[in-house]
Amino acid sequence: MNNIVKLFMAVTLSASLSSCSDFLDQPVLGQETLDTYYQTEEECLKQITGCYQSVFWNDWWQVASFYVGVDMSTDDLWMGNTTQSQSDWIRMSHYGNPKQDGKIKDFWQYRYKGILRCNIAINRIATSPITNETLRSRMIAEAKFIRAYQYFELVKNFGGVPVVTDMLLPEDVRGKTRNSVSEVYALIEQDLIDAAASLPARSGYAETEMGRATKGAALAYLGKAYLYQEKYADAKRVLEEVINSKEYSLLPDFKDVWSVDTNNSVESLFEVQYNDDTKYDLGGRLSVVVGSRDDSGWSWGLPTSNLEKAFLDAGDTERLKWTIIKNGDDVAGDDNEKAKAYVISPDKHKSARVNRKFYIPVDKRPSPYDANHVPLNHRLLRYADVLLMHAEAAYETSDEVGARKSLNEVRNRVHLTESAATGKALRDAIRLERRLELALEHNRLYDLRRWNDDNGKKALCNVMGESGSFVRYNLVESTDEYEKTNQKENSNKGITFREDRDLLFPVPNTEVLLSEGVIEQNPNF
Amino acid sequence: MRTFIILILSVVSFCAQAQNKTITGNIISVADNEPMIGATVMVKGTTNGTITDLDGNYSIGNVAPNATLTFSMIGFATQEIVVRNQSVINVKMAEDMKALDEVVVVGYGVVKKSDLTSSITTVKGDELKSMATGNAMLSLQGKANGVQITGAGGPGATPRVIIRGVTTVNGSDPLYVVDGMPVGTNINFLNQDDIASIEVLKDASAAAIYGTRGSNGVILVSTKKGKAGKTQFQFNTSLGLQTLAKPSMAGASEYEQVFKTRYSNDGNVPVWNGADNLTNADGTDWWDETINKVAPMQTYNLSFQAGNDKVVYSGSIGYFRQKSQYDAGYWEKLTGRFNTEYTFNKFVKAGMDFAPRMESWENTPNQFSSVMRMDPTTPVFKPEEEWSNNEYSNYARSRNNQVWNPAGSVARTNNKNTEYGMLLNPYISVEPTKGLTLRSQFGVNARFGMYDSFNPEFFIDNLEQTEQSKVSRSFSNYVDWSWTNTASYMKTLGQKHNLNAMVGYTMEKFAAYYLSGSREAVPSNYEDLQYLNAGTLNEKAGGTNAYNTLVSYLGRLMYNYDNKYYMTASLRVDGSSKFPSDNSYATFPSVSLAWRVTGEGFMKDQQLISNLKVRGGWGRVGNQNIDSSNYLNLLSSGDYVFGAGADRNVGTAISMVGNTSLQWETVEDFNIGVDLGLLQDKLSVTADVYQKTSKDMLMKKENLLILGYPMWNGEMWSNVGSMRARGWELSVNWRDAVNDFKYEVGVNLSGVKNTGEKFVAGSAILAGDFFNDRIIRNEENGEISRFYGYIADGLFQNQTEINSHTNDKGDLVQKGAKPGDIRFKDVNRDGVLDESDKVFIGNAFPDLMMGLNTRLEYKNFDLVANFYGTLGNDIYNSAKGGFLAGTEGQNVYAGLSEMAWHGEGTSNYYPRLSVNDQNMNFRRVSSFFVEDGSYLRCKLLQLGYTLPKSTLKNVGVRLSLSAQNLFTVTNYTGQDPERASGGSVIESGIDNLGYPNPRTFLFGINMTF
Repeated sequence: MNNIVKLFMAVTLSASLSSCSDFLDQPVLGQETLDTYYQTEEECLKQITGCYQSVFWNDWWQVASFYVGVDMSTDDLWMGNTTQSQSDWIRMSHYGNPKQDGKIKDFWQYRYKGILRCNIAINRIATSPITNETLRSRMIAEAKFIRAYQYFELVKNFGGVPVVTDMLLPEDVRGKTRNSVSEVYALIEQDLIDAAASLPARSGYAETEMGRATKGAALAYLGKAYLYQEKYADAKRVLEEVINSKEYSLLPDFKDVWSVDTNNSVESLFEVQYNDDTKYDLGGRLSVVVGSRDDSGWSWGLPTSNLEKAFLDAGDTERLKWTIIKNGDDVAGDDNEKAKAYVISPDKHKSARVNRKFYIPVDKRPSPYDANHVPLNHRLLRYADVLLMHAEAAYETSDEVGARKSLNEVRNRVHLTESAATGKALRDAIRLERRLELALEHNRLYDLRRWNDDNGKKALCNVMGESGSFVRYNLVESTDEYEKTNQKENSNKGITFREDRDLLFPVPNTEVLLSEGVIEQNPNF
Repeated sequence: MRTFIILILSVVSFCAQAQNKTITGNIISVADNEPMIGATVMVKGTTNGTITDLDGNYSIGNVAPNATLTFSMIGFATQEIVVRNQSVINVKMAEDMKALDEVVVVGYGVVKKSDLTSSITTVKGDELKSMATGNAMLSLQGKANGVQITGAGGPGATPRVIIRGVTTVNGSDPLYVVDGMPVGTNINFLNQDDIASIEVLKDASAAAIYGTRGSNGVILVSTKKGKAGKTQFQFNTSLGLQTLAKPSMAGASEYEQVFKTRYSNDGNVPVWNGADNLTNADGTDWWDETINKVAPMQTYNLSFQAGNDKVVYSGSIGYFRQKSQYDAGYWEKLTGRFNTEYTFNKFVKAGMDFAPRMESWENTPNQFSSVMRMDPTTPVFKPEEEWSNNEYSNYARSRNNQVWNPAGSVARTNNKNTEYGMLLNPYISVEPTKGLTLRSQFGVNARFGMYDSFNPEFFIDNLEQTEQSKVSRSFSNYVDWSWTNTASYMKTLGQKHNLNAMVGYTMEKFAAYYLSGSREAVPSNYEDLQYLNAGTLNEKAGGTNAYNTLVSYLGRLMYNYDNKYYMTASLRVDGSSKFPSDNSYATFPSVSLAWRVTGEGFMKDQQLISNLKVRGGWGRVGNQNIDSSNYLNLLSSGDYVFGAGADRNVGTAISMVGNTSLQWETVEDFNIGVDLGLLQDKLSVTADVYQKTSKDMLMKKENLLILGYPMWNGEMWSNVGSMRARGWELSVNWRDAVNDFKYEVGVNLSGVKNTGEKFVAGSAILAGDFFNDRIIRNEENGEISRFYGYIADGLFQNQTEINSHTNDKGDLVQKGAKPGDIRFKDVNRDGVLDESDKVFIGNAFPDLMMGLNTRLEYKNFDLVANFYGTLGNDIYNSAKGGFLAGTEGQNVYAGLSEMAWHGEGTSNYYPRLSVNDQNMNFRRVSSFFVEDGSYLRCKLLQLGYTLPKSTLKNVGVRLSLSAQNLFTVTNYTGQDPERASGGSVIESGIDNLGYPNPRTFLFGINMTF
């Protein structure tokens, strides 16, 4: 009996006296933790790769489709899909109030998620024990470039936003208000200046590194940031640095600009890198999102006859056919039978037109096609934009010669006559050229929001609103058989535009709610 | 002295020897007039005794005329009868109510019920078995006061259990402990028939011994043990059919009319696909096409108890199967149990409970929303000429909205899940000296799960297709063990000081092992190819292990003086791997006191009050119910492409931001209660009031998006503040018998107010998404789960009313409004409708919860009627908006075309139809959606008939017919007021169209032999 008791006591006591702290230490398995990361060059580089992923994320819905929505909010695109509920887009593109819409929230939140990745990389690589200082400064510069890109996207769409530059706990941002527009731009400028100082030129990268941020891209975005702030002299200076670097030039043929065969061309400053490896989600899907319903597409974001007319009025048939496919056309650059007399059923498509820039020739489509596998890199910044920005900056700083030179370089490629315009006519020529050259490339809305028209209003106010040119065109002037007939998307788009509200998008409603109003909503939403 | 007494007694018995005789008789039970088999008949003070035979007859010889016979049987009141000149003594024995509930299981021990100082509710297994459910908690509904249980609907779904209100936002599920082994927060796996009793530890003074897992209360389940005596078998079965109430949706022609009116009211052309002016007025009835009228449900259980003075054992085999209302989806479980205990000698006892089981199920598709929203003009299938040889591609695409064909979705449901589980619970207990018991128990709870699914390739439309089939299989194995060592000591000192002390040490480890794989592009949908090996693309595999651990020291001291004054104190120290090492330990104390008034001398002479006890307790319990390692910053993949060759470049990115300051949540609890028994306990009353205060509440809290957290909505586990619940409970039970008529009526009433006290952020906690607005606002010093929104003040009937909806300065409040839109109150009268006009418009928690349980018996018939209901709670009928607006072309409630405003005076409630909804009638959180959620539901109505003993020799048979959820009295317009209680506790009362509770009709047989 006694032995049993002794044994019993011995077993239970020995267990209780064994080390509990080991027993209670249960790490997460099969997953790396940040706290022990950033020890090697490889780990730092992997985190930078993660930052690049956050530029467009790995699917269409986080941010990519929002860019199509941005063009839907201009005179270039309709929502276009007239077979499905339009509720995701109608409040944004037709100027209702989209503050509770998921698209707005997704874009905001995925931009900030990307910013967090960059903040971690910038702060942790700085103190990493790696020894290759050149690589260290390049990696920090890459992360700063991407962070600047993300903040630029926020400030363009929402105005001044809260600036966060570290990984914080919730209590750290309690009471944090929105920074002013100029404070956000200050961060963008500084990040881009730092990035330009440490990034290699495009030619300084190996072939295998293609797609990384370059000095040229940093300077070009810096120029764009200056331009958006109307700091024209600064813009001109840095854009000329890009031009004079001779790192970039226009592709000889406009048809190659958005060709799946010319990724990372000489014209490219920065583009989202894709591949078609179906094992991973590393490709794009916007080609499907904007494609014809009659050709495996979702038909969101269809070009307007107003845009088509702009090309025709300018005598620009070359860029027209590489920008817009119209019902019944033979698709330019696609020899497949399906691309002959291409079907874009007018009852399903507001304008019976689709986007040619994102179009993938039938034979070049990956299988499955309706997935994130389209290998067409998404061009975010290309040399034609640099030239046209330069033209604008030069014009605004009274260098009309320089402005015309850059403008005509773009016009020459598509065999348009050289412009000899001066004064406001030159300004308007540059603006028109931006619309035509960069159509559907997510510039138009921001250009319209920033350009000042002669009546003292922002250009967008003269395009949208009850007496806006686009609204008047559709309700009064247009004779387009498709758009007039298919009213399942109302042709009065833009009639509810309000000058005192709609020069920015609203901040996501949840952000205002959760901060108890500390993060203020934009006016009148 | 003692020898002397024995001597005297033996002399007396010797003297009586001469006139000794034989007594015969028959013993029957009062309850059913059935013979009692195996009852003991003893001559008092002697070893002379016998037991009754199969007919309840006995015969005992050598009985002196002045002797006293004692008639006894376990569970029945012992009777003593003086023989005198009788030679035949027939006895009717009654069940001993007191004996049945004499012992109550508490954490790490048992105590006499009269010794309890805490608030504990005991429910016996017999009270549960009249309900046929897969989860015993559903049978407990309404029977344990202060325990709010709501059904979850579909097969295998876990019901929601809230014990005494809500003081934490982090889940409400209590800890379940089966035979001393903590098994987590779900007991779906348990066979309800195996349950001998359930103890609900409601207050902290009872639950503190479970420390960090006790904050939501603890439910102790004891399974049936063997007993010495004749082997007894029971066989129970019930077979039933479930039905669902069908909502009334618009037919095709009304749908078309509503659809088009929505556009024309906005001045737009309808985006209408398909023929106009439909001739087939009804179209497709998607409910009938997708949901079966009846779904079967069945249980079978066979069990036995047996044993002798050395070994006792019991066993059971049970089978339960419930089908969902769809063609797909079911849950079945096969459970076994073998409990045994062996007594080696007077010092050592050892035993083992062994309960293997197999569960298998197919996940029930949730198509209620799709069924109700689907376009009724769309046929189920495409025209036959468009059919392909892929059956899944032959379903039609919805013509006028985005809803996926629900019949197609159900047809494609293809998953099979199997879990093998085992609960193994060996223990040894040693009693070296009287009063001291050392016990060691090593419990293992293992589950091995295999989950297969196959998503077939199909093409209905560009937007409703899977281009490549996908097959996946995953294994999840869980091996949890808990080692419990206790030493307890019982001693009575000086006859009046009763002492009961326990100290213990436990270690627990929860281990999970995962493996999963998937492939795409299986060559065909052919059944034999639905295995990983057949996939041709995108081979993926993953797997890891996850562990968490708990180490605890515990102690309890119970003392009472003369069975009148009671004191219990307990202490537990817990160390958990879920918290950063600085915060890994926490201490949970408790104290409780009781005074048994009826134990006092001055109560001896009265007959009215049979039991009166006053109790009071205080305790602190904790909550660690969070994911493991939330304090870590974790990384996962973030691949991208670089280079002219467009090569994949492996990247990493943050996937979780950890909260380094995370610590324990504690709940502090005061409880005062009274137990009262009147008229020999015919009437029993229990009343409690309590206050629970939680500190450092743990919550997976939504955070600002600007933080950039990779977690969904920036959700991070945080200690968010404190909350308080104040409540009361009252149970009244009456049981009596008048001749053959026996009846029992129990009423349970309770109420609780949950209040936010202090939130760390200083700001409110918002919950319940509604178009990126939030329905619920939890504020400091305010009740939780209240709806916060605009006040809908009827509809504008004409432009004049819109124009006159201004503030004092004449500012027009709703500028763009049109007649037929909702008039929202400009509460602060600033002329603008914005956040500052929101007010509290509803409360998700009831003022009163009530359970009413009645049982009537008359001769061979018995009738059980149980009701459950709530009073004073509101439901945010979130889904209603769509059915009244036709949002995104969804189908609407039948009759909407007439109900919706279509001209002055046509309605003051149902807004005009509109696509754009510029007034945000349907996208604003407003009182328009708030409805009274009070209900009273007949949970169970059961009629039983016990066959007379003569029908089947030696076999007791009871037949029953029952109806569960038979009827509901409510004003709520949604499908099921009970369903709306789902969701997290700070997100309660929102109806999002889940699986409603079915009405079930059952036929049951209980046999004993």
